[in-house]
Amino acid sequence: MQDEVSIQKPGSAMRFAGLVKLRQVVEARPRTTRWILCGPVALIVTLLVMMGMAHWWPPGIARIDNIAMPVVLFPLIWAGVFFYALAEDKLARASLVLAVLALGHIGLLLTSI
Amino acid sequence: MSFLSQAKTKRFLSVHGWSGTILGLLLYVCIFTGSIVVFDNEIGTWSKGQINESRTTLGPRIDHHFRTAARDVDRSYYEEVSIFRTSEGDMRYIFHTHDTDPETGQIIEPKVDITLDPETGEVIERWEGLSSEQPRDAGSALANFWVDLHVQLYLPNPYGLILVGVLGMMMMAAAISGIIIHSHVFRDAFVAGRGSDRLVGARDLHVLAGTWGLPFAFILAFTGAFFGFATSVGIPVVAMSAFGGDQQALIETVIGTPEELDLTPAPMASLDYVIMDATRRTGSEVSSIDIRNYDSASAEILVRAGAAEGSLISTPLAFDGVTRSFKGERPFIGQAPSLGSSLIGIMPPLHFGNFAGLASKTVWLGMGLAMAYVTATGMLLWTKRRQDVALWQGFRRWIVVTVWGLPLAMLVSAVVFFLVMPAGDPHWWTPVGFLFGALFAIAVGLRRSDAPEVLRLTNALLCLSLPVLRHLTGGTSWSEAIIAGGEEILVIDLLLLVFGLLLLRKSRQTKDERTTRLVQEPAE
Repeated sequence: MQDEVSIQKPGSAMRFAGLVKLRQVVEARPRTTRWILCGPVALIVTLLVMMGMAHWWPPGIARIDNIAMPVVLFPLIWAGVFFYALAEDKLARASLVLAVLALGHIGLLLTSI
Repeated sequence: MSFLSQAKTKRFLSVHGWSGTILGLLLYVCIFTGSIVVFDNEIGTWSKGQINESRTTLGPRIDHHFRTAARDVDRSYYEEVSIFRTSEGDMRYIFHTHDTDPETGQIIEPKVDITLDPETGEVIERWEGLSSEQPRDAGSALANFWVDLHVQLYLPNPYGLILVGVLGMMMMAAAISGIIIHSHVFRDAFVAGRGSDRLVGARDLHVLAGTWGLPFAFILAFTGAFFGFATSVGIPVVAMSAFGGDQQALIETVIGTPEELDLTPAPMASLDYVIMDATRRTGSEVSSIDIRNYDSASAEILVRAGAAEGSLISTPLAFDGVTRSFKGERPFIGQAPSLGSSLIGIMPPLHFGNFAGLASKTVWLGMGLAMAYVTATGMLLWTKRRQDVALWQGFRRWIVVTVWGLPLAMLVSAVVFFLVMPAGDPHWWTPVGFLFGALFAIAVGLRRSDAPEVLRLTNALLCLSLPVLRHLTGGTSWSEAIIAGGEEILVIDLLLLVFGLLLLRKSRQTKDERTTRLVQEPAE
């Protein structure tokens, strides 16, 4: 299912030429893109979220919740990411959301080193 | 009407089908073996054929025999002592310490392992040496092999665990997509089959079993994925992130900062008193004790009892080893109660179904077998809809081989175990027996058109012969089992006989139907 092509103004098209190109690549092969998003990308994003959670989840009184909760919630995090990538009709949006999630946690990890 | 668009429904349906089909055969192996090994302790007792009346808890008086045995053990092994009952009902003390191998740099565990009669205190077996060099218990070979088959598909670590974790995720994808695409959950829960020969009839049975089993499938998949990935990937990854590879910081957070130890010899508190105190606090009997720094001023006694009334988890209780004063509960991980510790603690009872004894285990067995049925029928439906594709017809043969061949191979492994138990090495021969059974199933499945009938009949004969073989190779008789309270031996034997007779009856029915069809065909 192809997304509707939105009409863009020439100025903004120039400004976001890179994003438009990326969107075209993502949507050129919708089935392959969805397989990649639901498969390896979902797994990588899950691992990054787990690693990042160790820094933003409250450690609690015992100071171990930030270690234990990512491990316990791993199957649910993966299921959330996987089913979002599956259910989202707009592949470009799904790619963007997963990229933001991944980059946000990479940034968090880099700042905490 | 479904709340999903047609395109979304198609995608979810596709995921439901593919998640059960890719690795579906391995998923079936994992679920079927998991359902059986819910009773691993009972299978262990049944295969060993040795029973004792009060074998699960320590009992009220263990102090005298323990002190007598400890006197003959060198103080260097006093760092940690584990006290528990074996499945034969004997008392076992393991005195051990931790060291580093100077040549390899690996952590080693020198130990003294004592098994003694709980009544007389007579030492039955004493073994001293490195833990890794201790000979394995021959009697537990069958139960251990079946557990390994489930936990890591008999693959080396960590690949087996990771693969089982992936299977858990596949199962979760199938369960969640199954819930989402179900527009008539309540109606499907009471659907009546429409004839077993038709595609709709097969689908009805798949939907019926799947609908009732959905919550259970989700629990199994969630906990299975957790067990598969937590130790192999999850904990190392999170620990690396949280502590940047600082193992000491990780240990201190999870176990606590090592306190200054005072190893000056000090008189130990009575274990009988500690058992009595722990029983009073938890309301259930004590199953095992761990002592750290035995016979010293820093001694600590950790007592494990059954879960308290209304609780799923049993939390160890800590006592001062010298003053016998209660120090508090020890959470599963960390130094204080926490959400993370409670959730990790709840995973084993949810996965193993051992929170309410035999009753919950039986429910887990039944629901597990129902899930194995759903997996198998799901794969069969998938191939039935693609009858005109040669690839899927070939896959259909492998489904038959796996569905009937797995129980057959497990039964052959049990036969071989009983045959070699008196003389050979069952730890080596039991997997070999499984391999023989699997090869037989593959040969029959790929060569014969009546493979399901042949494999069903072979399963029936193996089920009927196992109790006899167990008895002939020196296993406990039914009368001895009843007298000694080993009802699991009787129950497993009877279950095998009942399954054997049911399969035999089904085989005869199929044979009669085939004969009738052959007789009628010329007339038509």
